[in-house]
Amino acid sequence: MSELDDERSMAALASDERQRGALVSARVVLEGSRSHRVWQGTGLLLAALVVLLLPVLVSDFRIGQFSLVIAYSVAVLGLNLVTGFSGQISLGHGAFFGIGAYTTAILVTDHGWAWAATVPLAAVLGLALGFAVGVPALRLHGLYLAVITLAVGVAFPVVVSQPIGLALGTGGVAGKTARISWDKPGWFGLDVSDRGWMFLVMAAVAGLLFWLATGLVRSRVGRSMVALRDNGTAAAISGIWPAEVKTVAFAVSAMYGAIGGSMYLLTTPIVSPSTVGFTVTLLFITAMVLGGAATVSGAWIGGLAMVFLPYYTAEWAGQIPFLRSLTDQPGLFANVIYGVVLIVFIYFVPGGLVPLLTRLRTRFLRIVPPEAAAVATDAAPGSATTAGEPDGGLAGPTPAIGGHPTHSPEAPIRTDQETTR
Amino acid sequence: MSPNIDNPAFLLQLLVGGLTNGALYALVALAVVLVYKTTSHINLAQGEMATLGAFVVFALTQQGVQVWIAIAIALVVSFVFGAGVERGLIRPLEKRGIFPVVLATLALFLIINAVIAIIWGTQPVPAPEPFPREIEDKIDVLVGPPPFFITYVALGILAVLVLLLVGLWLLLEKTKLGLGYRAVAANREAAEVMGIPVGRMFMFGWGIAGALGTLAAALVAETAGTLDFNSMASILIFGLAAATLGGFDSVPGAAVGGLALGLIMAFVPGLFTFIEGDLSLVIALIVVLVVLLVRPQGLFGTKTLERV
Amino acid sequence: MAEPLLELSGVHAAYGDAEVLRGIDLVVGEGEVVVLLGANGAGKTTTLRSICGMVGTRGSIRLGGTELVGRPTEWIIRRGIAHVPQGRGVFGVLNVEENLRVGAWGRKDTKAIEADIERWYGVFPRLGERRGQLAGGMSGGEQQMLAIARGLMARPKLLLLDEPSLGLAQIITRGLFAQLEDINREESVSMLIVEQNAELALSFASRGYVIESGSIVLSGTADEVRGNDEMRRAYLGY
Repeated sequence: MSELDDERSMAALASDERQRGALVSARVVLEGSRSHRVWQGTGLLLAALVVLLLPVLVSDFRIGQFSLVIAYSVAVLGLNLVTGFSGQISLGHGAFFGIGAYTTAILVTDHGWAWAATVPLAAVLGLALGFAVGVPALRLHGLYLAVITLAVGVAFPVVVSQPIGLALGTGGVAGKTARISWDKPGWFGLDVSDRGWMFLVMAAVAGLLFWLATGLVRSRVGRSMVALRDNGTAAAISGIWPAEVKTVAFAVSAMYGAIGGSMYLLTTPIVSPSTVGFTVTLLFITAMVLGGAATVSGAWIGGLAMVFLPYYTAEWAGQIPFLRSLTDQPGLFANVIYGVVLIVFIYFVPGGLVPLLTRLRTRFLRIVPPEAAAVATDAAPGSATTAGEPDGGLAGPTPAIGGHPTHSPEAPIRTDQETTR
Repeated sequence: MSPNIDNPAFLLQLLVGGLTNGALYALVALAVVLVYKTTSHINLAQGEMATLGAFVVFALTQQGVQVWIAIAIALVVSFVFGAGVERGLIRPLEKRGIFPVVLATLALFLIINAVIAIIWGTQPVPAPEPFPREIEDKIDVLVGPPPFFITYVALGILAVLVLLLVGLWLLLEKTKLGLGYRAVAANREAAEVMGIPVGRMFMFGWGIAGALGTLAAALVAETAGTLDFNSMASILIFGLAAATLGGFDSVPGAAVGGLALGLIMAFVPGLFTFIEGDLSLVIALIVVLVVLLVRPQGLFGTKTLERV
Repeated sequence: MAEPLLELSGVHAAYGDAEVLRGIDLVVGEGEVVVLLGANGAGKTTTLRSICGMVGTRGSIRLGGTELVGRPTEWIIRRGIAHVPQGRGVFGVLNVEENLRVGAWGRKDTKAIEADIERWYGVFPRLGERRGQLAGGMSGGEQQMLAIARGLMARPKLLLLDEPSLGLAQIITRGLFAQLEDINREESVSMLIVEQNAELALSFASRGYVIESGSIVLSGTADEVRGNDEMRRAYLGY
């Protein structure tokens, strides 16, 4: 089909040229310029303020929910790293989450470790399991990885309740309890409860993890990941080692899942096979798609959905007598809604919510890389969506899942400019 | 090593048990393969769709319908449902690649699983019994001690597999529909140019897969004695492992892969008694890993899934 | 010429946003052999694909007065077009006879199908010798024969051939074109041939078109096309 491919690629080139030219009147800020840094700083400051004020303003119950949001967000972020950025399908994230949660629970309850001390070990174990599962991705196509990770995801909750799991102290089907509580230190001035203090610590850890993820995504490895996802062959030719990049991506993703699992125990005093079952994996995947698979900040939205969607669904289902009469487990309705939401997003919002929000914001504020600025201010080319700007931890283009990244209107401005010069 | 290693009755019992379970894995693997051959997709909701079909059988028998009639009705319903899912949910995503389709089947997984639990509850229900499963329903081969016998259920399941394989072979090799299906599987674009309605062949594959799954789930439930909303979760893994072992695009491979996996999972824990508890999922995982490292196309597969 | 068999007017075709054809006009008369020439990527294959409804197409494509644009491929094929795709596209895991039967997919006249199978075995004896053999194991020339015979099994009014000489030795190509010429004469099957081997194709065709970047830049009788200096430099190399 060489002839056909030729015909396709030639026409694609021409159409890329035509796609520039949509005009947006918005404030244009240079990436890396002083005003850009002011905008960024203001945004970060606002976010920090909201986080700090949350435990002062809302009840402990709500803070518990928001703590859970943080734990889930970290795990979802891990899934974003492997699925969103490197384009691979991981169906075993519940297992990685589980290995972190069980590691922490066992070490805290049976061996008297402090929570903070268990996190690095949980992370290392997650990383190791990720490597072990990721190595087959060295050689094989994504569907095989799907089959393997699916098997890991389904096997994990079964194995923890088997004799081998019990020997390790998993507590079997009943689960493993771990009561972790901290007192708010005296030097901390804000009037928050112990639970609120815990939330703030979690937020700080999560902030660090998100910052690291942003760094990773913008690094050479991160850019290789995106290049690999969009065009495996081209990336391989340009000297990126697909196998290594993929395995690293997968292992790091598993590590984030494990850390998320460790943090989960700060919000819930027990982990059981059902908490880390395949359904959780499916919820993680839905959360990832909801926020935006190829975004770092989308993980927050995913985390919020994972906590509040079932909560409000259960409340709503409890108020409708017909639904209440159907089942004593209103959480099941949430799963139905998750499934429907997932389908709706695959069909209509494949890029997730974050790119949508970014697009909304670009009406008022556009951030462009310096090399594109001259053209951007003169003739205002560049696609209307201005993807590729480093906003909210977004690195590079944010193509839709399974869209046509190479034909995406959201092609990065940088390369556009270079080709037209 | 097991102390029973030189006991023929024990070994025969393992053999028959392994083949029976293997036949069930083979049915699921066949469903996976029939979808994969033409569409190059793996339906991760195959197990849930099958469970739904088994619950349809259960609901019908509750209404007093004879069990085989109930199964026949459920097979038709599952065929239509499978074909409908392909047309309505999967086809529109076809052009966007593998990932959205995988996500769509996962969404279906979530929805069907929850809907089953909402309608029939999360507690196990008694399984429909197409084959007699009382304690005396068996053929005694060795009187023992220790005895060796074959239950009617085991015989029935193996007979179903054999009949199905013959039926599938006739359908695929001897009918025009089967010719069209194989042509699409061999070269989709060329088949389209021959005027074969490619979409209908996809639906056909998904439909047959749906029916096979339902049959498998009904038999799985009978062997287990009960049916619940998570009945097929591990069976899907075994089916995928069997398909990997036999080759994702090979119908005979699925059958052989299923039976082989069943034997492996009977003999490994049976002979190595230091393995405690039910680690069959781990064994399946190891089988998949070994196949992928040694022979990624499987025993009978003609092609590996395309490389990245 | 009365109503032409095939008439393309103002045909645009695109893969997604990528436009490949930009207003093609082309005519194939009843019983005529027409050749379509052009460089790699010019849009030759896409022209055939848009006739078969395999690519998003605008404009008008009429077969014996019936509009084809917007119709599904299977519908178009049933109207009497057979497409022999580039790279032959035989079904490798089907045997020779099954390949031929797939070619007759749209037909219901079982007896005539059996007769046609035997007829093409007569024209291509190699296929008859290997009727039970898997097509994937045959040589390139044999596969090309099979692809053409398979196309003819549909009893088409119009045969679309996409680079039938690709990957074949010169001598085999000549034999193949001789057979195509016979088929055209005896069965009165019209043909639209996309071909790299311009010299050979023009010696066989009655008219030719040259396509460049999705537009027809030259058309005329075979002799006119061959006689055009620019054409000769670009595609014939002498």
